[in-house]
Amino acid sequence: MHDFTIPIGPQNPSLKEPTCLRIDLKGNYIQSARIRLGYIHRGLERLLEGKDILKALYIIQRICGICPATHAISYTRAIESALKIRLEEDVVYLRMLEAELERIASHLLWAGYMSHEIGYDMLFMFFWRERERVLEIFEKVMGGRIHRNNFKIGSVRYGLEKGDKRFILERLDVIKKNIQNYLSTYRSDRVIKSRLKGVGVITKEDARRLCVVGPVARASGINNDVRRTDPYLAYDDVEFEIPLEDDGDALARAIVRLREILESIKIISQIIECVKEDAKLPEFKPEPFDAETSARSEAPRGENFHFLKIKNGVIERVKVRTPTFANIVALEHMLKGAEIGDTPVVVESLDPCFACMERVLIANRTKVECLTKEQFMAKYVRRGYD
Amino acid sequence: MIEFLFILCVIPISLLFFGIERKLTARFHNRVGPPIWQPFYDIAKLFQKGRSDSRAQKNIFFRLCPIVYFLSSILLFLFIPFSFISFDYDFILLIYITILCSGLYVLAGFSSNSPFGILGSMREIITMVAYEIVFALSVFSFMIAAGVKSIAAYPPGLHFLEAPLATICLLFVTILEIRITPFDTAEAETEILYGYKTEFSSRGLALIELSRYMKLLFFIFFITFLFFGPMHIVPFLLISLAMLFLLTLEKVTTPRYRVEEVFKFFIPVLALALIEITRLIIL
Repeated sequence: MHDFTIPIGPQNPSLKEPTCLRIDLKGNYIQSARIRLGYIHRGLERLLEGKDILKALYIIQRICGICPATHAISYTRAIESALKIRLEEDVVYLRMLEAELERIASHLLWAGYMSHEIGYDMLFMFFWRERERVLEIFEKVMGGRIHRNNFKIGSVRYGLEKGDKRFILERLDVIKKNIQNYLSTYRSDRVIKSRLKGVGVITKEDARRLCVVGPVARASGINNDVRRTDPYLAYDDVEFEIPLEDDGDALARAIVRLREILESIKIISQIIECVKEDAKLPEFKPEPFDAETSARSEAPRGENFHFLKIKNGVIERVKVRTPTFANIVALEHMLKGAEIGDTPVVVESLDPCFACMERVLIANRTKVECLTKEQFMAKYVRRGYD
Repeated sequence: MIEFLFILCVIPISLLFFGIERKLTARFHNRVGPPIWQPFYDIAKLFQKGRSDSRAQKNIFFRLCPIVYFLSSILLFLFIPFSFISFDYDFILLIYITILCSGLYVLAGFSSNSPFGILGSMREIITMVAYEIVFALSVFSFMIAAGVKSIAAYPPGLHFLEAPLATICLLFVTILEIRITPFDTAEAETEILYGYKTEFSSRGLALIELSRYMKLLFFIFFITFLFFGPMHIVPFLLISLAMLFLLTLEKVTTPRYRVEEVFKFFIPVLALALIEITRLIIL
């Protein structure tokens, strides 16, 4: 039997988005944890139904505030494969540039939060200072810091202007130098290690069983990256390494993410040579068509899957499976047996993005009942309410 | 005369010290930070607020704790930096009052009828076991090294050179007592909200916050007094500000320990304190 139950959330300083964890405590240790979702459901899939594919692209890029480009890549990849559009080289590289910059920004954001959870506010500020440099690049090249609306079907909206290449490379050099410094801090600092090592462990077998994706899977030693397993854009042509760790704990996840930042910088320095400054970008206007298509891409948090059913150029049904949807299953498993003080570290180590993920309705099958209209009115509708 | 003025000024000075600490932290973080008189605004605002509807309000201890905690924090300033009361072995009374403060801290958490408050108090009890004995031993060491029986008779001089191990121990205890990282496990906001003060609101919270600022000020004054001896108020305040700078530097450069790590950390510190006091008694 547990001693008492405490609610973490929906409002809690350790959660960045509203969700509720109900935790049964035995002394200082967690006996079981239940997650309750549904506090930030936005009805995005319903919103997309009946929209023209060009209009839907704007909504798609607003599914997530941290990784809009990856959603747009999945969406455009699905449509372009249905229309058999062959992308120009410049477009491919510009899309990759945005996706990789976004990965750096997302991982830096996460690293900041993680440092805050363990009480290291100085590192939190320093990580966000690096993130600011990435946002400056976004602002200069695409006009927006968070929502850029850079994607079009078969093209992109903003190319590189004169001087942008130098601007990007200068900033990435600074980020690279600082991240190497912070990575060595994370690897060597005694207190950080004592807070993260052995916390929220997912073994390799558990990771396979729970079907986790992205950095969480890679920290458990599963070599799973859509950029390698199902290459898109030009990820076949660039050289990069997939960071892998075997421990499967919060420290391994932190190191995997920080190493991924360095790999992303490597990718950008390769592709930026191939992009022409002041290039003329193609224009493309799709004719109405019918298709049932799907595509995936590697978001900062893992595999991002889009399924589209299009009829006469209008969307009939969309299914978006964000990486957090796959990872959140592991949360209750990870929390079992942990100390109460480790809860924020465990939750944050998954890098959850609840707002993108919440679109599930679980019907309680045990309470299904069949009623006629009269019975329904008598039971559920108040009198005088017609 | 200046001594009596000083006891009246304890509350504004403690608020000012906390404001300086916040500003320093912000500058270390590369932020602009709040103005140094921000704590004055915060406390004034808290006094204007209405009381919360918490069920804990029915508990008499919940309502009394902030007041007694506040009074016992003010009592500490009767000894340091100017002795208003003095008798033989008065430092033992001072140690008792600091333990009373910690006890009220624990009671405030348990009486708040909130799981977060209870968790905070549980953590505080665990850390109390570790640090109170070290605190007492270090203070005894300084008194034996100076060869006096009362705080009023404490001579000027560089005492931290006479009892170097006790100096180290007392610094660790200070970090724990003023609740900054790495030892702020009892009120870790991301883990257990703010522990004992989760349920407090309005005047109760204002008194608790004030007591916390005064404790910060007292411990800075106390270590300055024990390390450098009594002196004129102006150099005393300057050295205190230097101590505040050092403690803030320590705060921003460390993450938070776990509860059991804090306990483990204080076992060697206790050994150091024991070695020091044994050395001083035998020699």
